[in-house]
Amino acid sequence: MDPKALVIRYVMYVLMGALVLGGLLGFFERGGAEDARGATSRVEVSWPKVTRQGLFPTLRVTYDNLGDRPATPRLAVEPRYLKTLQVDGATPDPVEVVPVAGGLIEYRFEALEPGATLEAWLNFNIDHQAERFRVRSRLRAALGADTPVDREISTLILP
Amino acid sequence: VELVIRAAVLFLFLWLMLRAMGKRELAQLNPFELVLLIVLGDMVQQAVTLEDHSLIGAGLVVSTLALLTVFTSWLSFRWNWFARLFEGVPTPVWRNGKPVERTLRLERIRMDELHAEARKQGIGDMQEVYLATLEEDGSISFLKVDQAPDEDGQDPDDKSVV
Repeated sequence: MDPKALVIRYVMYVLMGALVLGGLLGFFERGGAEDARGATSRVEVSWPKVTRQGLFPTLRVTYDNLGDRPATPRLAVEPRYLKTLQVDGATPDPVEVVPVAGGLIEYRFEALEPGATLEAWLNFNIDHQAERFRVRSRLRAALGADTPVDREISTLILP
Repeated sequence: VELVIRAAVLFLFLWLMLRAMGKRELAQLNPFELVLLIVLGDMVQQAVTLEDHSLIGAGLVVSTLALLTVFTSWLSFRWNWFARLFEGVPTPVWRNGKPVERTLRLERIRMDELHAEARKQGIGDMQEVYLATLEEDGSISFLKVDQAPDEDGQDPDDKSVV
């Protein structure tokens, strides 16, 4: 057999093996998460850390109202993040979406009764026109006056 | 991870399905079966990749299927029992001037199909045939009576032993 053909064959085996191994180890799709507790709330956030063009990732927040009065769940991220990941809407429908301090866009949901839980998420629809490969944003998840999550997140978009 | 697992499961399922269909069916698809196979391919693609239209996703599925194909081919080369399990074994459909009814029935081969296959290979009369075998790839090979081994099992063309 032609030595060049053999080289191509083995190089392809290695490349395909690396690709499959990378997939199995989750290198091409991974999420980040944070679970934080405030004085009267508990908030769990998960976001796509590594995703791919053509996928539909979500940014999820679960709010637990541990206080004794109703509180408004709020989720704020940078507009650039929403634009790059091509936000497709929020579930459940927010009561309002407003720009807030720090250049963030805030989603405000229906007030949560004491002891109640709400799971809210932003749907993304990343097509092949995604503008950049890595996008960072400040993420703030608050319940009433409590802001248990206030951090930087980043998402890598692979082809 | 999900894409790799889906592709691997589908590889196994397709292998079982193709083995269940029988060798002959695959070698001789009629137009309807051909269209069915194309539709099946489209459905399979949707089931494996779901909503994933990414370049890496496609690479993952293709690589998984290609590596599994290479791996099973290596296993077949290494172990005969695996080759028999994975690729099947040649099965006689005509022996000593008579059809092997059970194999013909199991593989759903009609006598006129067998005759047609013989004609394609320049054999006009089945009485000229000593052995017809349904090969692993679904084709039928023919050995004529004059190619049959002697009673002591020796090939008539083999002049090495006098």
